[in-house]
Amino acid sequence: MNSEQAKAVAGPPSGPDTRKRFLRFASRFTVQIALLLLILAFSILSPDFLQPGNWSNIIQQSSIIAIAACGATLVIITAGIDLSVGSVVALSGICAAGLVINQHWPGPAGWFVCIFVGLLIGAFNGFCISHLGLSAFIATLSTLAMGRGLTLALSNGQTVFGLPDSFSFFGGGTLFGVSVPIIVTVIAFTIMHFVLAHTVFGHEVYAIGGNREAARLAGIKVARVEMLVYMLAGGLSGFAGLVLTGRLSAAMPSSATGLELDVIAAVVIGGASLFGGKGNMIGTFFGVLTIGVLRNGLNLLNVSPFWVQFVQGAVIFVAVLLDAIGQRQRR
Amino acid sequence: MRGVSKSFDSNPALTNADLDLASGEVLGIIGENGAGKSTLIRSLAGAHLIDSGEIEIDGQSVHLRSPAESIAAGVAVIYQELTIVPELTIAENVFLGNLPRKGPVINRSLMNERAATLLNRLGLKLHPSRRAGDLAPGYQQMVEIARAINRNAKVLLMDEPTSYLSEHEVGRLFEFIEQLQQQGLGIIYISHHLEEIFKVCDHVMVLRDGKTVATGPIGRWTSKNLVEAMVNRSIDQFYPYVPRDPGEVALSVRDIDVPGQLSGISFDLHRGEILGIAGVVGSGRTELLKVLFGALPHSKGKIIWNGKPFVPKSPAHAIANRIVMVPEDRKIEGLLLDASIENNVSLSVLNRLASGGLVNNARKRKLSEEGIKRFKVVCRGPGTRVRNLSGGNQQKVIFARITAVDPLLYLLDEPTRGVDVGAKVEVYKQIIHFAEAGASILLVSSELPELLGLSDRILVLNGGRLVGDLVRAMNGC
Repeated sequence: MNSEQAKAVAGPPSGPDTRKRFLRFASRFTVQIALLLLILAFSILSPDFLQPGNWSNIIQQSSIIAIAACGATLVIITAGIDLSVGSVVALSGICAAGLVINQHWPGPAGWFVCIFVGLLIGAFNGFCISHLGLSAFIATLSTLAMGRGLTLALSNGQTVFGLPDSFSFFGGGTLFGVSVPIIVTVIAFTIMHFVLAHTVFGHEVYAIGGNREAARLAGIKVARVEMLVYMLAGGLSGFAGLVLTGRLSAAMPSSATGLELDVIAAVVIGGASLFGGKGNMIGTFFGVLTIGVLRNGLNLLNVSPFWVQFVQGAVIFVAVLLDAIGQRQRR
Repeated sequence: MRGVSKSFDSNPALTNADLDLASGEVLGIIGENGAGKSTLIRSLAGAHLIDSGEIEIDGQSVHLRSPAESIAAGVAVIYQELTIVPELTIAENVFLGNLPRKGPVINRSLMNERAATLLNRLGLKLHPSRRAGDLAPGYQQMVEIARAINRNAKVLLMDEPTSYLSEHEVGRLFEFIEQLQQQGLGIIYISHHLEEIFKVCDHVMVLRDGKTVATGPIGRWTSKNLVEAMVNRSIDQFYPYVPRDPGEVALSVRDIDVPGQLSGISFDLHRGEILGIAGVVGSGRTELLKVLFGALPHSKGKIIWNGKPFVPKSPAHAIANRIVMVPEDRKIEGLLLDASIENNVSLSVLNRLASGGLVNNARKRKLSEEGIKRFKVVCRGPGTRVRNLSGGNQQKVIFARITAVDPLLYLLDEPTRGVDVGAKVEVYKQIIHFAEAGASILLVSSELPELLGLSDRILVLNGGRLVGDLVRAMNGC
């Protein structure tokens, strides 16, 4: 819908004001332009940047953010927010690790544990938000805290080591020579893009984000759709937990702290509006890539991780600023 | 005002408008949406610079280049949306922007004293240190007027002042206006409620297409010729009413109760009948429609729709039963402003346009194109963002959406609000067309002429109760 919108924008044609037209053009491709500039800069500054091994690195390391961002994109399009992503990742890992290692469950059973934990928390979030009417921010903030607390309590603050290879397939395995996290990320993005662009459910998601009350009065079962959206987000966060835990073959109670902020940043850089109704998987893809490239590039240049955070914030700021300017022009 | 003109991007909003207001007089201004009323108000308020013409206040020529200059010249504007600050006291609101002070510190005792004197003079029994937000909207409005008088306003401009007032408060406002007249204020009263214009104004001015087309003392006008001056058509043509034989009872409502909003509402609605619902803001009209639509729960009462008992559980449920609603505020409740026409029109029937959960884009496009053609939506195409359409066309998009369901019951809440004259006629034709095709229609409208022109019967609501049931033959204009 976003690309249709972009094609059919019926704003008044401005005169041959090249500055205005450039800004309007630029605002539609903020992410891609930013990404291009970053890639250019890093390839000049670091000889290792363009190596294929490095690119495989980038995608693999971004896969956790990417998988979670699939669900987050849907949430943000409905004008909601999910702050519990990081906690779900950690909790699902701890639960799976606990059951597989201490209760001797088979490795692959751990996969379903991760996803199930995610779905459960997602359902809880969804219930609070769509049926109890709590604000998404508050509800998911409390699940963030409760989830993290549970993770620490269940693990006693200790890392759980020794997950079997049968479990770690999704995190560290390879399929036809391609690392599994990469395959999984691509599949998740493709499916989610299809859902958003072509299904009734996808249309309903955009409608709710565009105007929740109007969607309700037009006959859309808003509560049900919102519930599904948060469950999906939770399930995908659980899946991200599966990949992370698999990669380390261990579950750390402190893992993924702050992940939600990276995920939200990726989605917003990708062009989604926190006010809802706008965004798509292609944008999110570029958003995730931007963050991944940024991290990787600064890493190769041996920049201190503290400064990496600052630069990341600055990139988000510029992306959002350009989008806001573009919005104003389009009106 | 003499020969005042104002254009926006070569779109003339006001052309050579003339206006005369004497001290102590109430001048009513009426006109359709888009006739130039807001432009006129804003020109006087200093929010616009006029292109040409002169404005004189008390014989002195003034150039109103900003709201501050306009206030200094003695013009005060009371907008529909009140600008009371709820957290501050009454006195602070009266002196907003104008606080008596000793250096940087507010002189609270002086402020309260002066406020008390002023309120007294205006016959308002209010305590100046009460929180303004605790007052009823009617009183809040009067505090706002007191603020204007405190600034030595000579001209008071009131834009749709009764929109948010209860009937009782409206009466109080009229008494207040009389008081203000005695104090020598000149008042411009803008409203589309003709009964109010007749009650409160000495003179009337009609704006149409940015021009002053008629003025005159109130005694010279009747409701009928005022409306005709506004729309420049004979009323009989304007409302394309066609008598129909009402069919059997389609909807039966008994003892509907919504605590605090409606009590004991009972009526029957026949197939092919247009039932108008009259009443002031707050009388429960919108709530009644929402109850029937499943958007508001009701505590008691029975509804029988098409011969079967019906408890509307949600808008989705109502739509599945071929009941549709045009909501009161299209921007907040009716449209996805940033979405395309196509996405708005298809909103209620997504499942029908899909197979296996996948929306068929060709079917979606076809539906919206049919809707655009049927309702004559002026746009560049089905992909146009609804935000970029005019009010009238936006309303038509809503009509296109609801007819996609092939409804049997239309619940219309102010269907022509904010719609220009041309589009109004088209909407009226469609409404009559729906009824001729056998659907039943409940029409809520604040515009009495519209209600009178279209309805077969009119129900009157007051304070949540049904107080009147009028049949067409008896209520000719």
